[in-house]
Amino acid sequence: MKLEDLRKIRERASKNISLRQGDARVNVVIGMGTSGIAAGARDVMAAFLDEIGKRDLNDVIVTQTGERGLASSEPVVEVHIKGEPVVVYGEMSDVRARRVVAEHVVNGNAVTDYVIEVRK
Amino acid sequence: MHVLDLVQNAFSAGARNVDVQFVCDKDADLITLEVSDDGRGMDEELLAAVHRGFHSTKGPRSIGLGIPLLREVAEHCDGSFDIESRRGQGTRVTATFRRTHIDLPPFGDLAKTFLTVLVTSAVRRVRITYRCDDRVLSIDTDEVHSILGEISLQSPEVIRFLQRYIAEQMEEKQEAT
Repeated sequence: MKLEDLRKIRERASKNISLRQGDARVNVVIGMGTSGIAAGARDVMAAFLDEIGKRDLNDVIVTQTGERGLASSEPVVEVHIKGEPVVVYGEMSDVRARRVVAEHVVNGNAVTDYVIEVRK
Repeated sequence: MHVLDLVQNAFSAGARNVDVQFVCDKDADLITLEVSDDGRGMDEELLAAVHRGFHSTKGPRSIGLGIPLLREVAEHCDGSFDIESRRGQGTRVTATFRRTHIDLPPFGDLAKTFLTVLVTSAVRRVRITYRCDDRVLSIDTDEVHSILGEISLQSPEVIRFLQRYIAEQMEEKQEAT
């Protein structure tokens, strides 16, 4: 396996699909400060990336942010969907992240069990 | 875990270039972890506060507990710990550990860490070098971007590719090419 194999992806992608830089319907922001990482933010991030890869979600990006002063609720994840309020989830895990992808990112229904804040 | 924490420190210090090296050496019984960046760095005062032990304020470059904890682990595992930093020029953190030390905590799933670092690199250039016995992973986001052109590092296909690529390079023996 070589890094050059990425070129094939580019050739396939350049026609129709695929995310261009800075153009996404959904932005998932994961708190990756020390407390977030200690609480498992890396596995949460990996779960989101894994789901995006598996489900072939071409309009979702994942970004990271630092400490947010919500240490007791870490790992904290914000889901920004264009034209909708920002939903903040707390105490996320691998399993919860996958559920958020299925129910919120794909189907548009926030997973109220994990919501800690909704911002207009 | 420390690896990701160090990279996040570098990111939040406004670095444009971040180098991550993780090398294990069987003969010397040593693991070396080094993260260097060209972020805003620290002046002597802040650096001294870090070296003293706990500097847990949310300062301009908020160093919480990550650094003191890492130092403690390294020194406890017969290793060493060093930070070089200059205001405006960047920071280099080097930690070593005796590889077979009974108390050496697991570094966690480094493949996940590396993937996370790569896909969140955004406009930064990140270079990752991992060497462990005969396994080598070397990846540079500049190279990836130059192959991908305008395709995002976060395209599903790219993520899938990178997952497989990282796992393969880290797990399998290097074939003679």
